[in-house]
Amino acid sequence: MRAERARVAVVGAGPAGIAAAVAARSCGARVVLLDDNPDMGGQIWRRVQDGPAGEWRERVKQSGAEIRGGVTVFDAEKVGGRVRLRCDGAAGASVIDAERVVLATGARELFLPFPGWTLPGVFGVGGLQALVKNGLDVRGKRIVVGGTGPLLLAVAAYLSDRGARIELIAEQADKSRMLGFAGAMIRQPGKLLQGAKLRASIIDVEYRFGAWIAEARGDDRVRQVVMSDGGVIEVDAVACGYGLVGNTQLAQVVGVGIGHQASAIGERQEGTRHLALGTGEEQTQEGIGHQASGIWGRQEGTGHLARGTREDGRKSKETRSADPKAGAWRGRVVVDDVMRTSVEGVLCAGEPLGIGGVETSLVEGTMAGYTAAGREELARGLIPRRRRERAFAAAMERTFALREEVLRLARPETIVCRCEDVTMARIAACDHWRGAKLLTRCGMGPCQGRVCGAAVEAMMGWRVRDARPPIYPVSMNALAATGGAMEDA
Amino acid sequence: MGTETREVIELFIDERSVRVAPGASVAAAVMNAGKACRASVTGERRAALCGMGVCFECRVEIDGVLHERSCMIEVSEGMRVRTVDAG
Repeated sequence: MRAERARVAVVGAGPAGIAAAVAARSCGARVVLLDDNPDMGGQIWRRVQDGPAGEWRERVKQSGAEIRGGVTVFDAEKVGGRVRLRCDGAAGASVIDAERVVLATGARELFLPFPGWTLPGVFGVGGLQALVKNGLDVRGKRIVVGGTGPLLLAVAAYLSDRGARIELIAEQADKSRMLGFAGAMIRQPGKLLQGAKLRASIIDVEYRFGAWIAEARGDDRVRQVVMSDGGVIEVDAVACGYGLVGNTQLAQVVGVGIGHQASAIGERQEGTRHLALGTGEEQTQEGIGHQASGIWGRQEGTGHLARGTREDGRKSKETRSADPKAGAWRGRVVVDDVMRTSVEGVLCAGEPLGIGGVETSLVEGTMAGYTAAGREELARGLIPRRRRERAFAAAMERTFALREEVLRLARPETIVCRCEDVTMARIAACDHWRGAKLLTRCGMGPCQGRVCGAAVEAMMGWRVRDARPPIYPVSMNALAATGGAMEDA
Repeated sequence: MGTETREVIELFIDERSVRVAPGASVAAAVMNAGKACRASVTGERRAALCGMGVCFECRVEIDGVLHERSCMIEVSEGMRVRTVDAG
């Protein structure tokens, strides 16, 4: 297959990707903007046409960037100084060789398993909102919204507006933390106002702090939830999510360094390359260098086997990430102060760098777009704004840190890996993620550990960092046509 | 559905005619029809969880193609969908 060439390819058309495309185009670079959804906007701007979403949609349409929806990028690899993206989609398989790639791959929800969470009618919080935006009817449905983070309120308000009956919003964080957070928000009056408006729109709904969904019960679908205080609520649906985790799979397969420090920009000095921070084991760079680790995979970080069998005999030191409750277990793509990763030509912006929200994504996307187009000095001008946004994100992460109890909801018989139906007991009998995969098939199904891997990382403290191409299931046709993955055989 | 439109798409879910607004996802159509999506490897009924193409719980058969993520695909006229609840 002939490889199409591009100056800048942006993967993901949410706020970060849209902003990156706009910025790169404004510098005159030819830009291709790719997304696996039919429509752009990402998750946060799904079907939103007004306000900033509408303005940015219009801006990117006018920019002259080539926008392609329904395209799944399933592999990224350095080939001859360029970055090769292997893609599949309704329009067929394709290959794009780009001088610069901006990874704006967004985030997914963190699901923490609890008894009954596999029943039909139990959704993610953002998940249910996405489904309703795409036509799911919730009129008259009784719904409990539970988990953590500002998304709970936003989605409850949205569902209520769509005719649902919100029985309860259960936020696992204690009220004292929330008050501290509100204090930090004074410097962000816009966000404070936004929150107050949402609350006012569903003022009759109870917003309970220090509470969580302990169990879902039902038969052919969910019928009840049992709350952490033992109270039982009759429901037609449940929306439950414990915050977000960045999508770092594509970064991992191209060999980008993944770190573990909490998003510390704003508290730590900016201007140093983060790569150089190297303050210990948790900042260790993984996976730098493509195909450097021989037969086990492309990266050092691929797994314990790879690490244990290196020629230098370096033993695998890690099986555990940092304290799960503090959120530091979430792997983050490491970038320098103008959004360059450790792999030349690969930039990253938004949620894969640590959950930051729309404003952070817009700033970082713009910076990445400038840098990708060779206008690094323009990116530098945005460093203070980025620092402000990241400081806010860090405060948010502390506020909504996971409490011990919600990491312990799964019972021995509770299914953790939904693709392969692997129970908590079977996973808990293993020593690390790699072992759990080999022994139980946990994380080996079609979602490739996107759901259970993040859950296990949070619950067990194991490090889960083993994405490999293709990062989505693709047809043999697409693999063959793009030359993908076969070379790894 | 937010979009006011008179146009309606007819598709078939487990051989039964279903009419939905254009632009809806197959997952929404399936669940509005009171159906779940797939059977898990141990036979549990499962339906959409993440709504954004990540979890693969909403897989159904669409026009003879197995394991399609119904949350990522829009309904189209005459589409034939087969779920775990097909008779």
